[in-house]
Order: sequence, then structure tokens, then C-alpha cells
Amino acid sequence: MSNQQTLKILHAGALRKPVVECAKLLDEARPGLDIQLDSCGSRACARQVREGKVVDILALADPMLFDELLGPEYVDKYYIFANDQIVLAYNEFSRGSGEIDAKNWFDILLREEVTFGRSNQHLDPCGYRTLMVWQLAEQYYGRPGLFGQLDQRCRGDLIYPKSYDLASDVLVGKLDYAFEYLCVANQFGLRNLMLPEKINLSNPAHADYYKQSTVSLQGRNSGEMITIPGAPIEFAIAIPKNAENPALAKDFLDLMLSKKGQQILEDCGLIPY
Amino acid sequence: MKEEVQNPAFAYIAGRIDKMLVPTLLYILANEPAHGYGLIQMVNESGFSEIEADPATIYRNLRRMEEDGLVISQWETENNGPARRAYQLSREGHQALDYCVQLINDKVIRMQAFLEQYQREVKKIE
Repeated sequence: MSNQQTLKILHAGALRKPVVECAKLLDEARPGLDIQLDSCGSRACARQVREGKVVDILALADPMLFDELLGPEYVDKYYIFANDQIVLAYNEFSRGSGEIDAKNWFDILLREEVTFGRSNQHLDPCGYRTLMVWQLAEQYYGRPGLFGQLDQRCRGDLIYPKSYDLASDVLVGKLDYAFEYLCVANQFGLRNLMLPEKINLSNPAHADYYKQSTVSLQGRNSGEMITIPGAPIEFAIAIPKNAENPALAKDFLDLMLSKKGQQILEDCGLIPY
Repeated sequence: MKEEVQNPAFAYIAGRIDKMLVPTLLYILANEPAHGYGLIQMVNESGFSEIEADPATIYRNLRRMEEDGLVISQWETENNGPARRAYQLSREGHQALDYCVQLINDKVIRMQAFLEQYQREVKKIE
């Protein structure tokens, strides 16, 4: 029998801080709760639920995942609650950071001595969004072959399971740069280079432009591949149909979507809806 | 003599009327309720606003307009699938739009007078 005071939350790593802050608020309002938080890349989160993990709240970094991997068996309704953008995160000692700007970032990254990372596109939306940014950059800057050059330089150990770990390694200097959500860069106190709006996947006004980029990913079933187009970055939250404690989950969801939740999201660098 | 403006939101609007963002949002919402994602696209497509409609600017303005009672928001929860926060104009919002139109009209009249005077006195065109 489930414990009515236990709330299990599975969330995108990028949402760690706002989820923790909202969990603290709920805990203050309802002392004695056992709130269990777990995080990984959003595609990995969705796959865990498909493979039998039971949670009360699922908060992901791409609304598309609910339709693509979870609906209608596991989730029938989800709330799109915030927007973000891809930035290039770095620290004060990152090589080339004194001269990097929105016009030369790719030349700095391609220098032999510079290291940069991204997350795995099959596990984490930040990974496929990074590949989309590179494709759009090739066109935006008029640099044929740029995508291939960046892709060639960012292989193996430089591809992380989730963007949160990537930021951690930039913070300690294991990497010079990482492609991150702005909210993650903010949560780690990293410096960040804002990329042009036409390539940073932030603005619905450029949705048609973003669509020109596509990435192939492992699909719902083993061996199946799907192609997804670029789109503005949004985050979404849901109570799975098999949640053990839907009433408590509803309280948490209401908090995330409330004015207080909006303020927490904004403080973390997200744009709340 | 102009009617005295009581609502502090109206003073905020008057101070930013040149940018045309709030009038554009009010105008779009007067036609039909919309969510922020769609509003960003519609504001940019309209060409009315002097400000580039990025998400941060639009959502900040929508939150302020809601605090001022000009719009009402609620989550679309009737159907399955994706839910978004939808905004609709309140009665105060309709009054604010009328106030915007009055301000724009006044401005158009002054600018028209300027253009006519310029044509007449500088370009010597009758």
C-alpha cells in the first residue's frame, strides 16, 4: 500500500533548483512529507517511466516527450510552464573567454587547445537542441561545414548523459565551455554567452526558422529512429496516470504553476508562463 | 478637457504608448483569448510593436497586465494533451484598449499637423 505522505518526483536535471525550491515550500506547508527527488536527462526520465518506474510528478525539458514517449498510456495531460534558451556556458578561466562573443564563438571552440561539451541527444533534450543550434549556426553565420567541424571536435567523453553534469565540469574547469540552458548556467553561477535569437531556440517568433534543423533520435521502440525538427525550448510537467499519490502530486503541480512558482522559476533563470 | 486617469495601469500604458507593445497585446486579446506562445508570434507578425517580442518581454508584460487587472489568465484544462496558460481581456482591459486608442488618435492628430506644417512651411507645398 502506498504511503500517502510520500511524493516521488522525477525531473529533468535542468529543473533541479526550481523543483527543490517548490519541494521545500510544500514541505514547509505540509510538515512530515517524504519528498523523493530523482533527476536525469528528460528522454531518460521518460524511458524510465515507460520501463516501469512509478512517480507522482514528471517534469521534463521538452513537452514533445509526453506525446512521443508517454502518451496516452502513461500521461494524458501535461502543462507547458516555462521557456528557456541555449547559451554557451564557461568559467572565468576558460581558454579564449576574454575574447569570445556572439560572432566568433565557433572559431574559439575550434581552437586546438579549447575543450567543449554537450549532452547526449538520445538521453537529454539539451543534447539534440545543441545539435540543432550548430546546424542553424552553419546557416546563420554562412559557414558551410561548421556543424561537421563542431561535431568532430565534440565526441566521446565530451558527450555527457545530462546537461547538469556538464555544467558541473565547466564549473570545476574540466571543460572550457558547454552548451547549456540559461537556467542551468545560472544555477551554477557560470558565465554565459547569449547566442543570436535565430539560433538559440528561445523565441516562438522564429519557430519556422528553427524547424529547418532536424536531429535523428532513437524512437519509442528498440531500433526505431525518429527525426525531430527544431522548436522553441519549453518545459512541461505532468502527473502520470499511475501516480501513487495524485492528490499530493496535484498540490505540488499547483504550486509550480502558481504565482509563487512563477517567481521561483524566474529566479532560476527560466521564463515562466 | 480630458477625463482624469485613475487606474495606475493607465499611467503605465501612457508612459510606454510609443513602444506600442501593450496596445498590441490588448488589441490581439480583444479579438480572442490567446496563450503567450501564440501572442509572441502574433505581436511579431502584426508589425505594430516597436519592441521585439521576445518571450521574456511578453510574459513580463502579461504578468504585469494581470496584476493590474487588465487580463485574466487560466490554464486550458478541458482537453487531454498539452495545456497552456491562456489570457483573456477583462472589462478593465477593454477600457485600457479604448484609452490606448484615444492616446494614439491624439498622437496621430499631432503628427499629422506636424507633417502638414512641414510640407507647407519647409517644402512650400500648398
